[in-house]
Amino acid sequence: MDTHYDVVIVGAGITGAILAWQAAEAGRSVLVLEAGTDTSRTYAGYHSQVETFFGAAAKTPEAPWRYNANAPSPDIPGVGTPGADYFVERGPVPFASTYARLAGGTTLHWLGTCLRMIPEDFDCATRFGRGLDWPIGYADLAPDYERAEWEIGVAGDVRDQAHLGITFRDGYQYPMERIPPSYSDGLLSEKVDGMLVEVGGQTARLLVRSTPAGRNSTPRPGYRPVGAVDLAEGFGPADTGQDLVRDLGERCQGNSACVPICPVQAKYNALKTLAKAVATGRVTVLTQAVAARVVTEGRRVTGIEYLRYAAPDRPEHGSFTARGTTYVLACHAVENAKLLLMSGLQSPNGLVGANLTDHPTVLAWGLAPEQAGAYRGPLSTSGIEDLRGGAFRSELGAFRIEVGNDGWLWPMGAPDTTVTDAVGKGLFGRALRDTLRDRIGRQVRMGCLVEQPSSTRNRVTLDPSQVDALGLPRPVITYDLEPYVLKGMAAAAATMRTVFAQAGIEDRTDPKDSFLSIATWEHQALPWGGAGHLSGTHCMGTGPESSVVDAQQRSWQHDNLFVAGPGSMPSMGTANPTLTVAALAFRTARDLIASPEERGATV
Amino acid sequence: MPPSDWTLDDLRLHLMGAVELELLTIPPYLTALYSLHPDTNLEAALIIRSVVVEEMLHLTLAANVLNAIGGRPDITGGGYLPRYPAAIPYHDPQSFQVGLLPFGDPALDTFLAIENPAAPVAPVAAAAGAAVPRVLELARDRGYPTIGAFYTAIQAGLRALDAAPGELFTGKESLQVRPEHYYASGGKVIVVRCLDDALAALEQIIEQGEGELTGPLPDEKFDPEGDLAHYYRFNELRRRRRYRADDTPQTPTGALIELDLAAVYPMRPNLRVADLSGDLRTAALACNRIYARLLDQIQTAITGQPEELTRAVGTMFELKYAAIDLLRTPLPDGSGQHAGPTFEYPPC
Amino acid sequence: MISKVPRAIRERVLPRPDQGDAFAALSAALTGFSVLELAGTGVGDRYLAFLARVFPDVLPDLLAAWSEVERKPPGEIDAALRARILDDAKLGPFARQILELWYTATWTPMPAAWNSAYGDHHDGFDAELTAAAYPEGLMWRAGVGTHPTAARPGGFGTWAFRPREA
Repeated sequence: MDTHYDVVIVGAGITGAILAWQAAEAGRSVLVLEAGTDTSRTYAGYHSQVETFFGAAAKTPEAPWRYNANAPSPDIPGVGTPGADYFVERGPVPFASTYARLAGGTTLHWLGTCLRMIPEDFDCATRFGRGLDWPIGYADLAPDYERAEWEIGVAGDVRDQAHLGITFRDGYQYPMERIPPSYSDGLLSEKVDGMLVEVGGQTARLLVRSTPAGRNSTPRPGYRPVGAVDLAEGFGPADTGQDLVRDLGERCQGNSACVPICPVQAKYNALKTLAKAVATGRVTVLTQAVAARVVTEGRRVTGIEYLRYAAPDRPEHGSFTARGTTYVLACHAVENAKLLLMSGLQSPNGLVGANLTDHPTVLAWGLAPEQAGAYRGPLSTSGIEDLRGGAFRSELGAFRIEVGNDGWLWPMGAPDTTVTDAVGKGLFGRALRDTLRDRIGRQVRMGCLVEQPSSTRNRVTLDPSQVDALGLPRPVITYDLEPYVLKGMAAAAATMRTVFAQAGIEDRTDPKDSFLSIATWEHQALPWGGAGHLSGTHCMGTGPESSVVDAQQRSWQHDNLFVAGPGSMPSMGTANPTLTVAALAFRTARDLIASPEERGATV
Repeated sequence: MPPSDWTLDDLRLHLMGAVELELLTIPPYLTALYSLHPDTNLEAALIIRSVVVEEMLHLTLAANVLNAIGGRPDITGGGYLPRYPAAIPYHDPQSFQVGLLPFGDPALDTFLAIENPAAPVAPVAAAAGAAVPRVLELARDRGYPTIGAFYTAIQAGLRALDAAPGELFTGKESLQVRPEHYYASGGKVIVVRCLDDALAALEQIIEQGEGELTGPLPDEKFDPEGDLAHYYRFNELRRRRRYRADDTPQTPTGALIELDLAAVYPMRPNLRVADLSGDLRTAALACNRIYARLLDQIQTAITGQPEELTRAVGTMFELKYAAIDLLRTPLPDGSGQHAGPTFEYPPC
Repeated sequence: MISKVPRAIRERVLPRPDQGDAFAALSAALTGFSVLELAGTGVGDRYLAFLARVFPDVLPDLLAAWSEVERKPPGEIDAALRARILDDAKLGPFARQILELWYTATWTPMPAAWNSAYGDHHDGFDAELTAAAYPEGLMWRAGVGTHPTAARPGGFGTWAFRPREA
């Protein structure tokens, strides 16, 4: 515990893992502090979480990941573990997205979608008068997008992605061929490709495109897919004479469980990068170590106090301080803000914790005219991206349409509820079986991720009277859906109705009958859920008066502190944020390695 | 006849023998694998799975070499697809044959016999009229002391014929199964265009599985990827211990492997469709039809349409579920034993 | 509630010769799957053991009622099943829960009204049972081309093919 490291990183998710790896490759000594457990470190431990999922009453994204009172994290509001609510929801709208506090982080249960932001997403304030501008643009981030795509291992085709200003370097390709689109994507494509829709006075031509994803597929030359991890204590390589699971997960098998747990780790998770970091011999990972305070002296961070607990179900812990030359907070948007606020490090501009953002996702579901193969394959293999951009964004939120392969599971808890309904109607025997045979495979759904501009009204704060088992404050969330977003959600719902009609899908969207939250706009009930995308809370910007970190995610207030992750993003546009988060991590790594403190540092 | 005197036909015959040999091992391994209760005996399941995947890789490598020298692999037309229990090379079929067994020490002993790395045994003639694998015929007629020697002879034959006048590698490259078609194994599919490629392909087979290096070198157990050769993977299970790098070949002294032998479906060994009746017979036949489809798809893949391997992957999963359904089903005779896959080809 | 790691997979469940055949036949009639198909799931014994443990009084009544139904000619069994069991105030709700158990691998507790009339058996969602049985839920076998979430995948690329009946 007296060791002085070159770099101390809080959080063993994708940001922490990439930074640890890059710093170690550059010869730095690194300590990673992770609040959660390392259950996924071994394949047997990971596999036990699949069993936990099988036995869960409510199969939410958090279902496999056993509740940890010492490193609690949120669950779907109203559905989660009773008595274990983590967020203190001040509303008016309950924040609907979750994240995981575990070694591997939220990449353990993400869907895997790896879309780049479109160029206009980087300056929404200037273009549309909405939200915040980034201090950098698409062209600045493009080389790091490539690095991120090759580290995560993205399957895709650049020809499917060149729209709305997204460009690629000449000759660039993703490391793996696109995941084969599902049969139902094909059915949709036949009917829908080329159709015109109108949103906010603008006409768009729709196309069903494959979605690039961090999921193992046929490799292109120069890339070897990385399968499951099975690591020794401390995340080093296991010394068993062979690596039995290395080849498991080398291709997606179609388990249709990306969220909440890919049984074979064909989908990327940050442990794959963490393993590389530890293999350099210069990275130490401490799990069950909850950062409690960032200790500062003037403009320098001098240590991170952390609580080390022996068991997730007992609060007994010891207190220690980690010391380094450079520090990185990388524990996701809410926890980063919480840690800064716990440490009394609110910025003079009051922006730490402000601008908490999600992608409210409006769902529509229906019955396809023929057997579509629902519930097969990755949860989504294609999307309709044509409404992610346009002048209408000055009036209402843009959205992308995620085409689901997972039937009515998300909105309706199907096929379980389909069974209950049929049995309740008196069906049994052959008649029941035939009815289910007719229905289940035809259950299709779409979800529109709607952009939400940054707003200081949506924020994370602390209330010292609300604490967790270790005595640390629970995050207090103030959150709302403003009219701009609601208009976008309504337009999304209308677009999906039009697409359903075009595709001959019998619309069965019924907000009141679903498990979803309901938002209202102009008397229309809009069923929605959180996308699992939390951003904002420590936005980057051009100067300390208007932002928390600079364009390298370095704190404006403390010279040797980086606050990294989706919390730095002034906007997400309509892109699932993880790819951008990874690109930013590569960008930050260069600055971290090159910083003046690192040159000729003495212990 | 030494390899230096081989004709092209000799070489092709040997390579087809290699394809058969790999294929022959797969049903016994799959049967044991599928007999494990779901989510139990994880290590054993992963070990057997890894061996099966590599046998299929070896099959593919042998087919690639055969295709490269202008031969034509033929599994379903006249290849050795025996009924089990079946004769295997280097063992007297009167006293030892490989069968379809549920997981357990008898099954593991069978696998060790198949993969036996360096047990020189006089090749034994099969009973007249009995089906034998080509490699057994070749061993008997040409006198290879081990399977390793068999593969080494193929390498020598390739060198000799490549050095001889005329082009050896005349096969169309479009017949080659490429790395993107085949995955999930410790090794790599090698596209074979020339002698070096062919030798590398065979070297990989030798190092991973059958036919190890001569001499008890300390790291003889491990292949270049650091993986144990197949014999040793099975020996780990049989001895209930992992190997450490400095262990002697027979005795692993590493971490204990826990096996739950009660968590195994008690399949009746070497079940035949003819032993069954009614619904169960229909189900066993349906399983064999899936197996036949798999073989057809592999045949198609190694004779010009390597993309067909994607369909073969799906068929392998279907086969697994059909086999497991059978393995869970008690036989109606009150014996307490269960049904299981019979791997009879053609299905009948 | 901290969910515990289910060890159900290791549990050895012994078949009950006296009730096993009757339960299998009743389950087939309720679910529309054959006795053989249900055997293939491997979870029948586990369901029976659960029901015998939690409803030791009701289960024998149900199986006795089934033995009456089963004597009918094949064409009349469905009607008899409905009349004698599914429409019965006590056996009907119980049989429907069993039917749902087979399809969803999840036990939903008996409704309060049933508990008042026939006794509260303190049944509830059973995580161990569901953890062991989830991949074998019949709803996934009923759907065309479907498979349980996180189990029985079709293999790489198979989701691009036209879905086929198993």
